Amino acid sequence: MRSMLRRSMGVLNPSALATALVLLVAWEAGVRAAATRFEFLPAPTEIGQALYGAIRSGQIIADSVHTVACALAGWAIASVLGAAIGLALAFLPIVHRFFGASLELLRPLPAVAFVPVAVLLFGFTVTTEITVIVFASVWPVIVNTVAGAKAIHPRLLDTAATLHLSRTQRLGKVILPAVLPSTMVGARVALGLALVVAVIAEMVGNPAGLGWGLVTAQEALQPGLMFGYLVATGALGVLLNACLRLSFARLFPGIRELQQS
Amino acid sequence: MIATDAPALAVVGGRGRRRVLHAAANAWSALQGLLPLIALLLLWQALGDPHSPYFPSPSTWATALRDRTSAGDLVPAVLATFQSVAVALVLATVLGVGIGGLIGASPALARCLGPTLEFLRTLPPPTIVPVAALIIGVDEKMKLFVIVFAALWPVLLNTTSGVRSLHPTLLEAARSLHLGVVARVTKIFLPALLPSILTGVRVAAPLAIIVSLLAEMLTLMPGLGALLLMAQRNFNAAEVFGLLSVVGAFGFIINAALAAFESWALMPQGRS
Repeated sequence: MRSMLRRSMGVLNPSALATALVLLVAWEAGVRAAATRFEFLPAPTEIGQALYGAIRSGQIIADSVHTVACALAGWAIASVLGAAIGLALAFLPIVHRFFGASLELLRPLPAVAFVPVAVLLFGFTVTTEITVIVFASVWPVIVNTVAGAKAIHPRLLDTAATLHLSRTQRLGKVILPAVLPSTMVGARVALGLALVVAVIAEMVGNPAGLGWGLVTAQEALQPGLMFGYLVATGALGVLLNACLRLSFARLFPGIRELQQS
Repeated sequence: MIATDAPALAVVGGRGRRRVLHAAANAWSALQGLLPLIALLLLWQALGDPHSPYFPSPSTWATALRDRTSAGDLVPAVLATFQSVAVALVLATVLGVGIGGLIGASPALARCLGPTLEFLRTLPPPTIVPVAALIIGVDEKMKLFVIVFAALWPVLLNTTSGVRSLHPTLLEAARSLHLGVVARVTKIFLPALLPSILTGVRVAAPLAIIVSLLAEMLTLMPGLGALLLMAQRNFNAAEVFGLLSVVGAFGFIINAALAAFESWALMPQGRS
């Protein structure tokens, strides 16, 4: 708790605030004086007004709720699926031998390129969006689960064998508790990805949510509103990550790297 | 990766043969891993309906790609995407190393700029694409800008942490040898920072590819992304699947090339 306090103090130091303020004022002055050659660059006050208006009308809130709901749904599916695939890869040699390289080949496929395929199969729907999110965010969970399973101390498995634990008991009492922390590290990376990919899928696949709002604001030539969406998306990312970091620190107090990263 | 320390233990005479055996075993296990994918594609080819609107069989993908190539679209598109990704990666590396080095070296600068940069970093890179399209306009410059914006952060962050973890002895050695600024940068900083910088570039490369494809999809600038989106809009499933495999190979080759470059560049340091 104290380290968190110190962190936030460190982030909000006076010189940083002053720098950000100077940058914003310079931006405002530059636009007011028409010193920039970009005709659609809005002043920070204009962005603030547009954002405030969009919040008052509830438009940006509804869009955020849609994006976050899709990201969370896709993330939950990806976490469970990734943990299952990771465990299978780590503990079933057959699965590893026959599916390892195929998965390695699919992994670097850019998620954006997957959107047109999903649109072709599912149309411009929520299913498309969630499929793409799952496809993109399942990888870090798999990779981290496999790494965690590889790092289990052999003595733990020996103990399980000595105690004559059955397969399900061994899975529930030894393997899962030992692997879960690293799966969770992967899940945290996956949540950040899920949000980004949700926005991407909304831009080119499912016409709803923040991504679509951003694109429509651009096409309607409303730069203030567009920047408002940008700020909202950034803020949402920070908020989700902070929530996740807090709840993980509470759930797994023993993992230090989580608090550091 | 391929030949580990097994050949080192072997007698000198049997070394070459054992390495060959080792490579063959590796190739076989890789092939085994690919079996389900190959089997899936073969089954798809054998049982699938070539005229299916959703799952056309793999041979139709090849035909669609050949049509695109003979229409003169595919090769320029691949080259356009590759050119943007490569140029943007070089720019992002130069910028990221410069800014990251300054921030890592100066705590005052880090305190001032840190939070602003932190906020910019949390903006999902794809959201920059429509913004840049409106403000800069739809042209090559805008595409480069968005890719650099996405690829900058991993390089910058890695360089910053690399500078912070430089061993003080290195800096003291530079001082006691009376090295000039140029010599200090080329002889001390760059070699010491190379591993962190290259790690950053490898993280940045897939991001650069994603943002480049998205920019092409949203603005229909020439490139692989635009081709994919047009194929989807024309409900040409065979072409979509074909282009998807091209994109996959594209990403795979760029990643493999960067990995090879990394191990080549780090070889003198024995860290490959």
